[in-house]
Amino acid sequence: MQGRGRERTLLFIAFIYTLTGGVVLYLREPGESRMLAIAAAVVMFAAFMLLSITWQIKGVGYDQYITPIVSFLTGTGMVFLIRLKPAYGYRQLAWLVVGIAAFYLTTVLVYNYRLLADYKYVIALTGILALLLPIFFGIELGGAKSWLDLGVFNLQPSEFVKLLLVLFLGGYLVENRVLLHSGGDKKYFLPGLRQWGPLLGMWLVSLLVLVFQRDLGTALIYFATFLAMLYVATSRLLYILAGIVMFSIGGVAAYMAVGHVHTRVAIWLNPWLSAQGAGYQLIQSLYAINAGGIVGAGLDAGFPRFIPAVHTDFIFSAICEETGLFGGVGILLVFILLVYRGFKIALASRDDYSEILAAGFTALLGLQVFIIVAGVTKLLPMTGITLPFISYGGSSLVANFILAGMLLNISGETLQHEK
Amino acid sequence: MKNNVRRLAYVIFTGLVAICVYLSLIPYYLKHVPGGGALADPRITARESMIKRGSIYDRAGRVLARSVPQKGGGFVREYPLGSSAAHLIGYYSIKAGSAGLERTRASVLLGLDEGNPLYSLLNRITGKPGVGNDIILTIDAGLQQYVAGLLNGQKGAVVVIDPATGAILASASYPSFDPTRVLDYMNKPDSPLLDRALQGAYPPGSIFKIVTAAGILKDLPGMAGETIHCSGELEVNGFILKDNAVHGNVDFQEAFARSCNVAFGRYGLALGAKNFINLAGTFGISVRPGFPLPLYPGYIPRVDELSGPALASSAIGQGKVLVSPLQAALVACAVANGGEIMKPYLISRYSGPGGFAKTFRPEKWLMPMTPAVAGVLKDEMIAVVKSGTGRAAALPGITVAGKTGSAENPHGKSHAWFVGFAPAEQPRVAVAVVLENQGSGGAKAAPLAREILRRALE
Repeated sequence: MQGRGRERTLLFIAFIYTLTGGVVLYLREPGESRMLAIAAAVVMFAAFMLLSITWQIKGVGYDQYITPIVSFLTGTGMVFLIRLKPAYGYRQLAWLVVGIAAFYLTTVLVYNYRLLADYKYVIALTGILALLLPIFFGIELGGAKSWLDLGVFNLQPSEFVKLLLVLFLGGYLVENRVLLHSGGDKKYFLPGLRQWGPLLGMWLVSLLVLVFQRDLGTALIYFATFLAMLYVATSRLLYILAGIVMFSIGGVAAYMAVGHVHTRVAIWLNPWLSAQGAGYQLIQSLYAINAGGIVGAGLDAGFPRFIPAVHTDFIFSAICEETGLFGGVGILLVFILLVYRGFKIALASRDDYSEILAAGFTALLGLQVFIIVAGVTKLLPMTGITLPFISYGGSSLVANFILAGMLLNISGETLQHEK
Repeated sequence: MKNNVRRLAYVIFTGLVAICVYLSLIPYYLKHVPGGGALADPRITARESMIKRGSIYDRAGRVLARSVPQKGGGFVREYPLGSSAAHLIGYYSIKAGSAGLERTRASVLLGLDEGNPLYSLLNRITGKPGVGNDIILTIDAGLQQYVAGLLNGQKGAVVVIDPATGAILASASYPSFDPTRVLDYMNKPDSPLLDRALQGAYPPGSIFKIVTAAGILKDLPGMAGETIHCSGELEVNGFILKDNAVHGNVDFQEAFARSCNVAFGRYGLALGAKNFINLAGTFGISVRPGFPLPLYPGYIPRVDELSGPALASSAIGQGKVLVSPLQAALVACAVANGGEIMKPYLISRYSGPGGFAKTFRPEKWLMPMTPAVAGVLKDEMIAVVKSGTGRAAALPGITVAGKTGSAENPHGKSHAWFVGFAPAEQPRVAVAVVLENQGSGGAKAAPLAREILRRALE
């Protein structure tokens, strides 16, 4: 039986970290809603410790860093959500419980994840259906039409389709990588339609998301993840370059045709032209980061409320305002650690499918962090996606927990082989 | 395939690290972006509104400005003296911004600069709203209100100083404004927002003869003994300097008491341009003392501008010479205080939470003349009030010393000036009064000065 002492030590540190945040919030403004952060810290710690013990008893060789990192990020998210919008804190705590359950279920039910390779077309079909649903039955939030109203809560299918995308591409690319790679040794080779087919297909799916759901961020994530996995499978830069050109063409077309996209780009180019209107949010985000300075205003002592929708897309700016450059870079470093563990798992895996899945999931996560943080800091146009594990959003939280569970599954396989 | 994963990892790491670097550049971007001023950062006013600004008190502890909590958070400033002290205290509101001490001492009032650092840190951690420091002024609120009342309806300014310490007891300017309704006064005729007492630029007229006289007594004492014939005008290089009367043969004392322009034009010419400029400097003209409010430093022409006629007219306070009422009061202070000007000061103390206190002591500033010269000038100024142009300033039972001025200016009738102090034996109050375009200083400014001195000495 393998020891998981390191995992539990780190979980304890993450617990103390989250608890400190909760206690500070409570001391500054005693009240029930502020107790919630303490509750979240306790719930997370108890649940993750239980999982850790379960895994130890089972003897699975899961990576010991991923769960503590996730706990750390989710704790940060809970503390800031409760500080920013207590009403959303309650809902997010409920989603957190669902997320941890999904996390556990993933490690139990999808333990034999290799079987998924056989169902890749079923997965693809499910994904496309899930994407089409909001187009017909969806509601619009924040300019993007990508939510399903399920009464009690809103569901964003595109968050889950990300996972399906990686699963499908993993299966497809492993099966076809020889074909896609063909001619790779020749210097000048133009593959035929069979090779270009997947690229075109993905491009169309991304454009579909972009045009019908008006969701620039998700489209970008899908396509970038696809290119990353395609590169891992084929090592052909030609595909990547072609892909970038194609996406750019699609992007320019969307810029011309879709008002929502046009506005986002215009804000990015010069937010000061519409400082009182469309550019207000981005400028406030920059002001927040600026106000944070090196060490920040202190938890609960800044003014992130000046940023509209701070609890979802712009939560990173709030973190920067109150914890400063140290806090912002700290969060990014924790994400870098998570991405590092993900790629480590990919590199340690024994078969192509596991490797490409792990790399795909990790790339998905890393790209998402890059795109949203670049968006709120005006490095790229703002695209309106969540910061994994931190932003408010149930679908995103649960989907990311499933993603983390998949990484654990792959790492378990790997390490068992190593025994 | 493993190598591809590695390369992909490097690309993603590079992206994330690049964002870390980029984050640290955002403050520089905001500082230098063109059009960056299009939107003010609401955090600045929000942070200020969370802090309870300190109060401003007069020398006896009477409230001049205080913060009153508002329903729904934040504070609003209240000014019990209203328009009477508006130019000194200034105003502060989210809509109108700030001015006066509310502006120049904002960091003290907000507790950002001065104060007990440990106390403010503790406040930050516990999330209590910050508390600023109080400012205690040298002003006497009663006198300030009285002076503002006297001035009401007459464009001009009054400055009252304790000559022994430099403490400003009152400083009023008319027209004034209601500090809680500042926006109504913007872009109005007669500039009600301008503090004429500290920032007004007036030709001093004959009150400047005190300066010229000090120069003569100091550098050319022999000339003070000579008699000068006044025919009503003085010709300098073909230019004619007119006098207000034909004074006949006058000695130094008579020339001062009757404010003879011909005699003082001669004195100026005798002193010479360079000497005259230095002399004005020793009285603080075109010198800036450290002061908590913006001051007009005065103007004295350069050497090459002071040709014969210009020098003669500068010596009688005309030409291009300009002073503020504060500076005029300081000239009286020099004579009252045995030749030494104490640095004018308005703030006597800061006091803040956590036992913070900082006291400002009177400081010596300039020494334009010896006590002996000051003694002679004091006698001259007593004579002005006793039997000269300033008789309207005389008070029963109290010796008043003073000098009148009627300063010609391009805006109509002369500005009426009076500077003086009392009691002459042991001066406790020095005063400068200027009334715009009211004509004769002796007739208009001197009676006002008398009332102010009477009230200040009560």
